[in-house]
Amino acid sequence: MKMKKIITTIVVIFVSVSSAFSQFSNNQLNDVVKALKAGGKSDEEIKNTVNGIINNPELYNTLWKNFIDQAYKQDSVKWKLLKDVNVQFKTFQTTDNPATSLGFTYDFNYDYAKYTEHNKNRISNSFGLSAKGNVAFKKQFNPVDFLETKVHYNYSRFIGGVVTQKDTAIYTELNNIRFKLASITDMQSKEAIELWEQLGKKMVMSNQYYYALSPKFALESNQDFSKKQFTPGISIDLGAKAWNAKNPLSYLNIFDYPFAVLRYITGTDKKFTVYGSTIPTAQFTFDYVVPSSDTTRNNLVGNLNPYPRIKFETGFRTFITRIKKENIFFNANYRYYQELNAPDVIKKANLNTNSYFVMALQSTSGFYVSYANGKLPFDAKNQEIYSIGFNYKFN
Amino acid sequence: MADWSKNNRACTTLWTTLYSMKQLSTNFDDSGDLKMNDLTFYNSLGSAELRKQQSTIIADQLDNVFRLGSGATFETGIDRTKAMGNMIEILTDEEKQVKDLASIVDDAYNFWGEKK
Repeated sequence: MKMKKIITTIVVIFVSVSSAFSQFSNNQLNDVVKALKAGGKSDEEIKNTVNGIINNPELYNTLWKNFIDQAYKQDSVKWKLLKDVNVQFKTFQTTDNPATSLGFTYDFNYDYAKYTEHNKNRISNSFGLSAKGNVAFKKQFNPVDFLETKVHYNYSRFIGGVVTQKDTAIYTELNNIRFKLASITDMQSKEAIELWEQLGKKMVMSNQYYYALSPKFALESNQDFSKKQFTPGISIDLGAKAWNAKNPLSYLNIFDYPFAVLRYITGTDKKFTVYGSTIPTAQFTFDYVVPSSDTTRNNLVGNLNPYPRIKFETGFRTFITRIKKENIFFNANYRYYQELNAPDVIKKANLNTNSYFVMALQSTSGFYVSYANGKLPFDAKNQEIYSIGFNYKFN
Repeated sequence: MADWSKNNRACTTLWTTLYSMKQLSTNFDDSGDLKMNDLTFYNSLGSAELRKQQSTIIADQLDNVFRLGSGATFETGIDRTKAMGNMIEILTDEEKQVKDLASIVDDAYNFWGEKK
């Protein structure tokens, strides 16, 4: 029932706001049919062609984009929220069935944030609403990941980052150095290196530290709401950056050592330089899961008692080298999930912990080679990265 | 918004800052068209939450360098909330380019010695 409501809402939006475009699309379809008829195609062939067009998610993505553009153009204040709604239509397919179904993925994020300064610290307070999920128009094609609707508050604090410069003469010198640097093509030239050193002496960057606390309340459910759970919880974010490579904190970034060697060997860096700017950031999350309806868990465990769970995620990305116009980066991401004090039956089924590690070499134009190991919980799969073993793509 | 030009303080200050932060390694002319996912902080393998965290850290540091290190002030009607929000919106969008970031930086900050 809810599914029909969603579909109906989207259809109504399309019809009411982008009627002109819809008319244009209908005219285009009629033209296609006429052309096929003129070409002597059978009714069956015409039907297949038209179905192919109608079932192409790109058609609906174009309509959606047009709707957003038109609505925003008509009244940018009234439709401001639309800018935060990311909807993408796509085709869903189950692993055991070659048939497909149209559907969409949605990701809505609205944050009201206030950034203020207090002495040497900067603080932000934000309140946010978010919703994300995947929905197939035919129920049997729905993916196994959960829809998540969440309200959250976030308190963040930033410390350090730059040494305050109050000498206005230095501001002028910095402008002159920046202008000269922008005129140089070869950043490895002696002149450029000297100017970068001068810039670094006059605009001194220091270590930057960051932490954030985010209490939240979320509703997680499958697409037909037969499984749903409430998840109050809190996330803690931690980050540190040594923007000055000569700072001792940079040398603690052990993850960057192999790449510092590669940058030195390839001549990307003239000296062995460990990047303190790529120190991994981390997020810890603690949730208290209150299942509301979940027949599978009830049958497996025998009850729907609340349970705590933790999640940890960290990411690392660093620059390796530049070959012609291609920047080569190394990326890695690690996620760990655990249900705390899980019942024995959950442990025996190996459902109490999950970890997932993925690393990839990526280039600017989209070339990548990746390796992944482990698995994500079924309710947290992200198909963009969920591929085990080695993968590659050459453009 | 001015074009990506070395005569624009927002462009040159943004570029030198991103370079000093090891976010890019290209010369000025080649940097305007770089997309956000060409910058070192943008890890496409991570969750959206982690990317937002990284973008927020970068935006905070850009604001630090512009105002505390280089003497920029906010344009009329702009405060830290608006400047940070606008920069984070660009930084989290992998398709946006460095010159798009320069555009909103130009709108938000009055750089030292900049003629309006």
